[in-house]
Amino acid sequence: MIIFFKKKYYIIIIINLFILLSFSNAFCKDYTYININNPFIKKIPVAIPDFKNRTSKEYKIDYGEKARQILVNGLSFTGYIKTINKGAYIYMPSKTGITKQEINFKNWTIIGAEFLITGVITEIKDNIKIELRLFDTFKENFILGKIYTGAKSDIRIMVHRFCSEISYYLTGEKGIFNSKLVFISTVKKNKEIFISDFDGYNPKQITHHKSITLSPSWSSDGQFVAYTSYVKGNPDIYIQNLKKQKISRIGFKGVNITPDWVPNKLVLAACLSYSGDHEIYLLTIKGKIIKRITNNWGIDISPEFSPDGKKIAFVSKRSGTPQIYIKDLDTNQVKRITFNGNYNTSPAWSLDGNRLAYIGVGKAHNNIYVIGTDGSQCIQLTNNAGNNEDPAWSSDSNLITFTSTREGVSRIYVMTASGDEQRCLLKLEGSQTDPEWSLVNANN
Amino acid sequence: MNSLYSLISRGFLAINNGYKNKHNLFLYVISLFLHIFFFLGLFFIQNFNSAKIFPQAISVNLGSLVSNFKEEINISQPNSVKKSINSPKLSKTNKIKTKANLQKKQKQLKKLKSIKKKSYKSSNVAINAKKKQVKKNKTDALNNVLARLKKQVEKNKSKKSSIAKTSSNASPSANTTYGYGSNKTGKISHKINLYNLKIISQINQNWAFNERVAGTNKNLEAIIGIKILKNGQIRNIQFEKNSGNKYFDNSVFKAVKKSNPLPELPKGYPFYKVALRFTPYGLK
Amino acid sequence: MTKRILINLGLLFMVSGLILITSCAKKSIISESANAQIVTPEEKLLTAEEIAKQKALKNKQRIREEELKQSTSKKRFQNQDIYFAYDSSELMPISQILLREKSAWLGKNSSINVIIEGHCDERGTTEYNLALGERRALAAKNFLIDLGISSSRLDTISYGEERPINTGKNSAGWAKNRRAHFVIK
Repeated sequence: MIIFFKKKYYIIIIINLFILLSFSNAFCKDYTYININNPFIKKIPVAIPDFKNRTSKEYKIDYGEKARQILVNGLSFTGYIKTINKGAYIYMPSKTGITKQEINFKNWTIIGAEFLITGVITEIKDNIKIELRLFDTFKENFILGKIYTGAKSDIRIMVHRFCSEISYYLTGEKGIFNSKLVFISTVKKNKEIFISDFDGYNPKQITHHKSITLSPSWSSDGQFVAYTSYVKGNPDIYIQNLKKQKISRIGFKGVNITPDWVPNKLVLAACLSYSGDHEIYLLTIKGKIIKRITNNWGIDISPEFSPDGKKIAFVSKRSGTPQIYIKDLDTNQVKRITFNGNYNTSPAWSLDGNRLAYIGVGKAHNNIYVIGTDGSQCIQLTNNAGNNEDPAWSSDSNLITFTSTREGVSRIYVMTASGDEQRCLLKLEGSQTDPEWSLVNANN
Repeated sequence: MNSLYSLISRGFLAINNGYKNKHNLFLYVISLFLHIFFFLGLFFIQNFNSAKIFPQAISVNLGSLVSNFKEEINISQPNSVKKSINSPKLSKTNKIKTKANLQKKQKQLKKLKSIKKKSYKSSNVAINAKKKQVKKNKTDALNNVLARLKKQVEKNKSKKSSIAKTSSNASPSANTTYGYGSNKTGKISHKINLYNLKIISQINQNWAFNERVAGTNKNLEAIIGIKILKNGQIRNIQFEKNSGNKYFDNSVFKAVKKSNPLPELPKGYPFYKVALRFTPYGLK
Repeated sequence: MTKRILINLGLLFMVSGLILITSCAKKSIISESANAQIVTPEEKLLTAEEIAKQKALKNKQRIREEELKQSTSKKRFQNQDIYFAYDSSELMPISQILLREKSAWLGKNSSINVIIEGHCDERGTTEYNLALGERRALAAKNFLIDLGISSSRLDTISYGEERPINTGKNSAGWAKNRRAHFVIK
């Protein structure tokens, strides 16, 4: 009996081992490894079906469609969201439900949508109520939802708030939806400063100097714009308080140009030539010189602070041609950044601090390039269509705005930081130049 | 395990004790048998896996794609040769020869041995004629194919010389054996290579990834194991390795989900297990 | 032998001819860079001689004529710009001749103050051109100071690429925009 038992035991053990080994074998060696390393889609595909309109009466203006358009257009300013064309949708939830229980997510995953946004509009007299919901179609869950109520005229603000929420969910940053755009436009052969929403909507003229006005620059808090103007004949720096409508002037002998604010301080750097040489100085808001930053015979111009304020990029002709340099304000070390081409100017520091956009002046065309602040990974973003100048970053470093003469007249364009989707931002009378976005919290 | 040791030690004990216990001896023989069975089993399992048309490591690159196409071209070549062979002159001569053969056949039906010899000769003549014909076409591709054809025919001759055949039948049969026979083992790995390329293309096309949202594109790697059924359906999606970046992991998971179903598996595959290693290096 | 000599002679003619052609071309470029209404360098030297002659024959010349000359030379002072190479604020030899002439005129008209405007072509960037324009104005100003003109009489201003005189988007148009312009206060 005992032997029999043991024999049986022995066999069982062996069979067990056998099975175990064969299984482990299957787990370890069955897989074929395949490398997949070229994501074809560079943006997150999102479906935004028609908004449901709960207004009982017949409505004159389709605020649902209006809000949807604002949402689609707004999300395009993230630089990483692409709304799938409505024609591809196989199902319209506006007819039935917009909540999680009512949505069949397979209808959306099958067209490739990774997220779904539904909306409901209710008009209450002059006010409007907008409900917006964001869903993950593959995980089939509700991510976030908001209800906004406000005047019909504020519909853009409400929808852009939701864009901010989506941006924050995906990247941890609020995006540029609260940002304002400052730019120069010609008015009757003069150049004046305008301010618009981040996407070029609602442009308003804020200077009436009837003169040449150039190089506007936002202060970090969005309260001040510094610029150069010829109002009094000489190129002087003007600092305009947007809320109080006050203007002060910094006018040394010679040129007073290219102002740039120190981040989070009411101190600015600018190029002055009163000494007979173009050097960069640090100035108080009242125009008192704090210190001289560059000290080199030859043109030193276009200061641009790093987002942490510890470094300054500028253009210098010290090597014989205009090139971009970075000076460390702590160690006073100066390092040349650009070596390609013999005319590189107008550095613009990305808000993540890693990259500089600049203009490379070529024989036939000026193009915009991006380069790492260590001088590596130089990429050309515009491709020899007209002259492309005045690069400036969005506060989330996803977009670059610039001016281009590719369609003849100089206009303001926008593109992603990798140079994709270059498009015209706004078309006003005359020509527009020198765009710059304010930081997120402008005018809040 | 303890019992195993005890059994083995008991077996040795049995030897030491001079086969005192017949039961122990019996047990020892059984254990030996089982051991052999066990190790043989292990051996076959290894073999089984590699032979199970699951290539262990497949290098998927453009090279293999090109070689694939080459193979296909080669396979189709004999047909074109056939066409050239069927050019008027040749076909005439062939027809004449076959007629002659048939006549001979009918005449000498009873004397089998002589038929064999004569048909053999006639087939030689036909091959020579073919040689001449193809030599006239000086394109390299055809020459290559001719060389192969010759070899094949020679093989055929040596293998099947004992079988009596008319010359007109000999050459097409040689062609067909070439087309299917020699390539069989290579074709299977090419099939699955081609299939791998299809998977890569399909998943890449469904993969939406933005490095700005990920915050980085460096050192991101996620491995997802999937099982593909015969009809291309994806089953058992599971992460073998996470990248640690939530957005990246989500994006690759969605890419796999979106790619369902994949193309049907090549014939002869009941299922196919793949580990997809995702890295966004393709982005510049 | 004779053939060879002939060939050599022929070559000689051709080479000298080429030299002549190229030298002629250079001259034509110079005259092109100046405005059509403005006189060529040779004529300038002539007018300088005339001024010298006038000085010698002061008594015989009438005051009216002198005033007439004054007004034409004033126009010439205002309208004759000096030009620069691309991305450069260095004075070319021709510019130095023109500036000597201007300093002579300023020396005679000591009551006149001048603003020197620096301009650039549209290539390059707005900001950088503001500085470059000033460099050009300053180069002209410093040259005049070296010739004895008081610096208090000379002001500079840079317009960068904001005020082109020629809207042509070609090398001839750009050449005319890279200039220092003189304005009497």
